[in-house]
Amino acid sequence: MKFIDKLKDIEKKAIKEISDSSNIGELENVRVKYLGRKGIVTDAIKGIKSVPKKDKPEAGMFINKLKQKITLLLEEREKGFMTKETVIFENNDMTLPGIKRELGHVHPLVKTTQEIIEIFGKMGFKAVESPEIETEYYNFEALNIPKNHPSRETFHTFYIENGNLLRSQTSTSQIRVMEKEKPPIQVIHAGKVYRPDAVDASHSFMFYQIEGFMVDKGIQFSDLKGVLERFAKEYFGDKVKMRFRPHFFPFTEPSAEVDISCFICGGKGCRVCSHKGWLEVLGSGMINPRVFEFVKIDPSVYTGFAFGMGVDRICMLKYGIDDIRLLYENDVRFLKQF
Amino acid sequence: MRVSFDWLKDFLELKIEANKAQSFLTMTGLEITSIADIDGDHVMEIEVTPNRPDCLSVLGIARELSAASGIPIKYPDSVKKNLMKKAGAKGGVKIEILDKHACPRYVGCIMKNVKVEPSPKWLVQRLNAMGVRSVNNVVDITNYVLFELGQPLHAFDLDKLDQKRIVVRRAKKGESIVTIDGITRALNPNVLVIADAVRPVAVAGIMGGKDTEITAETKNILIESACFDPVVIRKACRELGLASESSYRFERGVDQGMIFASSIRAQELVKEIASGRAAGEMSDAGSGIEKEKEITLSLDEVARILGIDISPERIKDIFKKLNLNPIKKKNHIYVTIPSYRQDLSRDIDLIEEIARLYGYDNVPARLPSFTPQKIYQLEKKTVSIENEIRKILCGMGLNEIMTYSLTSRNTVERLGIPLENLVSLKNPMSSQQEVMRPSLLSEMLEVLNWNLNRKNTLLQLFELNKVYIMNKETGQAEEKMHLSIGICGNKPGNWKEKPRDLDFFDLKGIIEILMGSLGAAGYRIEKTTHPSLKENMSTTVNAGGKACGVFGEVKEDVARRFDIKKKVYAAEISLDDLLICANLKKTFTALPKYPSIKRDIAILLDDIIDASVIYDVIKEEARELVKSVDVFDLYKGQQIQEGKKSLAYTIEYRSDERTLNDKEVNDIHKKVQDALTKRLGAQIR
Repeated sequence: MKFIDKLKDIEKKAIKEISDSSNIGELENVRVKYLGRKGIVTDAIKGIKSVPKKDKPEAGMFINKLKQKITLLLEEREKGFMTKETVIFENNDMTLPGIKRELGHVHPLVKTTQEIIEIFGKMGFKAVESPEIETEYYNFEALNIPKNHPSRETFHTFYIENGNLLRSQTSTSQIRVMEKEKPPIQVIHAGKVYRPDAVDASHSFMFYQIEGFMVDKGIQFSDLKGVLERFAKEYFGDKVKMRFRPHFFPFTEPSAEVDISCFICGGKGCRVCSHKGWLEVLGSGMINPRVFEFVKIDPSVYTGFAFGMGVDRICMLKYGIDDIRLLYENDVRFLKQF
Repeated sequence: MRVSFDWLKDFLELKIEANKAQSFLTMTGLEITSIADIDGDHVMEIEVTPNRPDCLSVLGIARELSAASGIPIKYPDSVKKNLMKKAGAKGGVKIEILDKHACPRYVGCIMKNVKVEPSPKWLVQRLNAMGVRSVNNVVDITNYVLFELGQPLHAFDLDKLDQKRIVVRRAKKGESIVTIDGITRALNPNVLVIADAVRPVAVAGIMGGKDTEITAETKNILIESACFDPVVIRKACRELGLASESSYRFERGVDQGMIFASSIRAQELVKEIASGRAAGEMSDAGSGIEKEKEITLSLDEVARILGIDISPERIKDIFKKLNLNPIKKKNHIYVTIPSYRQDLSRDIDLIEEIARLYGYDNVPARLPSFTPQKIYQLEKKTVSIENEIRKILCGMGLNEIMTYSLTSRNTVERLGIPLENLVSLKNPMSSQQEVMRPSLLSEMLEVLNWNLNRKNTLLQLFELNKVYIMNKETGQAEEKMHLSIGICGNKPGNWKEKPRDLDFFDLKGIIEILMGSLGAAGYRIEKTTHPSLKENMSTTVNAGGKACGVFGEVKEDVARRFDIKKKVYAAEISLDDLLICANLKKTFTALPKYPSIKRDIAILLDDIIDASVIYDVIKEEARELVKSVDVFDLYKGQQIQEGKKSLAYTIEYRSDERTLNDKEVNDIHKKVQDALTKRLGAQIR
């Protein structure tokens, strides 16, 4: 056999053995076998002496290339092992950081919604869906907000091209549900609402609301207070105090705005509660008899209460987020905090 | 609405502090949002709800504070004597009302030899507290009465009124007026005006005209005290883009009973401050005063709605404080509603009044008895699949995002998807929010870009949210729940592992785990084309013969239109379609009784042969004995012939009936090898 052919044979075998080796240990054996002090390639270099003089340069070059090639292949193969077979040596330094896997996070608005719905769910409220794109009837008329009434002004609204609108509050779900179902009704609904407000730290043209309502014989204002107090204590903590203030909503009467004692300062007054000691968290009231008339529920037999709250606001209060835009920017450094 | 604490003292003997008054008012429905100190006076900012226009005056607030605190209220004599009055006198200026619906009543009063000069200090201060600049004594008096009694007034220079006539009419097309702010305003028949014999001299209920305004030279004046239809005023405000303290009150409705009394009050002040002389020349045109309404309240209703135990005497007391003249007969209380309380018309309104003054905080809290609700399967299914998806994706390290549903047409355009079924807004605030998005992908790309710009390098995100499509056939907009996934960037390494870029197969793995975990049996991932996704790198997820979504590598030019220079991989799946093939009901499969045997195989074959083809061959050959096929190595490049690739598989063989022996496994494995060689020209290595 010619010297060159012998080298080619060595090359072929080495390539196969490198690719056949299945771990770092085996690969190391291959390296020693070919490139070690008594290795095959080292031996072959010694054999160059016996090559005819005219063939010597070619043989020398070939042998150098062979050495380089085997070295390269060994390195490549080793890299492959490095990523797959991680532990190649026993490691006794326990102070090295642990290997962490990435954890995914639910968006804080979703988390807030889920927590609130769960609390009402435990009290027997059923979660329902309701459309965002609505008619004037569901968003205004059936909620006792007549055309040309000043109260419509507080519900500035986006209209779409076919004359329908993007609902400005989730109270539309009251009408949707009461049209289909008869009392006893106990429902909770979460979804988006839209109002033409310019975006700043506390305003957005789109935000989330949760609406809840209960209709049955014998439902009273005191039940509304009981249910909301239970909610506030479950969600904000046992120590929280509540305050009901008279207010006006066209779809409830009597209507109430509900404040909770500021859980940051405990009611002493701080930046979060604008030094009032109270935080406004929801609107509520007894369902207006006019609304019952629209859905053909007899107000002389049934009574009910309804409440609505802004999820964004509650989420911001709960986590101390000072800018609503953070919720919609979705910076992962923000998302990972929840 | 602003109110000065000192001014309230004109009506009430206030011995309480401002913050005590604040608490009384806030807890009965007039929320004080702030108190400012102006020249030693406490000026309270009050949120007045739209149902209570009667509270848009110092008197109105005083009435509420009186009812809440029990401090009796005292009216100025001139006001008290003239409430609910209508003058028959027609001796003064000639008033014609041509639109009786738009202007039910107009009282005009002439005052002569008025001295127009700067107002006294107390008047300047009071107006200042309300945030109004002093003009001159006459104008200040009209503003003063507006704030004091809630009745907007206007003073004209009588001598500048042509023929000294007042005509209340719709503006004619082509007419215009220069209002006192110096702006020329084109008018039209939607706008009600006060005119003299020839031209408009004021925009009714909104603003007076420059021509007839009170100046230092004015000698004789006409004071207007009128009422206008709220809708007419609101429309005119919108047409003209103009609003004022007057229009604010007219839009909400003024007190019929106060129109005449306000005129008298203004006359009194003009005499006092501007040495004017009432010529006794008053005209009162328009309808008479409506009789006060009466409402009956059943005492049983109070308990039925509120759940409180309250005595009839206490109720009567509350009604007395509210000036409702209650009379109790058997189980009912009859009340008379004063003219300023137009919001009270039904018994429920009275119940609210009781609750308000009884104190919401004094109503006991109780928990009602709850009735289990019927849960609809479909609703339950939608909610559960959403939560299941969240669990699976968060478990794989993806973060959930929430984005706006409104976007710009341009953003949708950048995705390269068709625009014809967009739901567009009629009254967008800006072009940034002019359409409802038809896809979640645009916002996903925006969020990826936002994060890349902030050097957040590992991005694995998803969103569960609605998309909106205009159904051309029904003309209705449809809302559909979608899932989007976006991944981009680099998985950082650590002292054991090397960093690497996320790629298509990371996304594919996410989709496969998702589909598997949702129990979507028999779904297939197939090649497709999509306007936003790169050719040869776009796939559909097909289930039950229907594509429920797409995923792949986002086209470079699409990504670049969102300012992303990196490779981005994205998916969008319809939840409705996913629901059809998903099955969240888990059923137990018995664990294998017999052991499995694994065999490795390395093959060299043409690069163009897809892995799925190889998989199918292995499956077809070994049938149910193959339990799993894993690719553990793929190699192309040096030492391998061009156009070829080297693949290594681990195949797991197992029978459900018996333990396979070595020979059996070797035979099957041989069959697999032969098939790969024969059918795919593979070379076993």
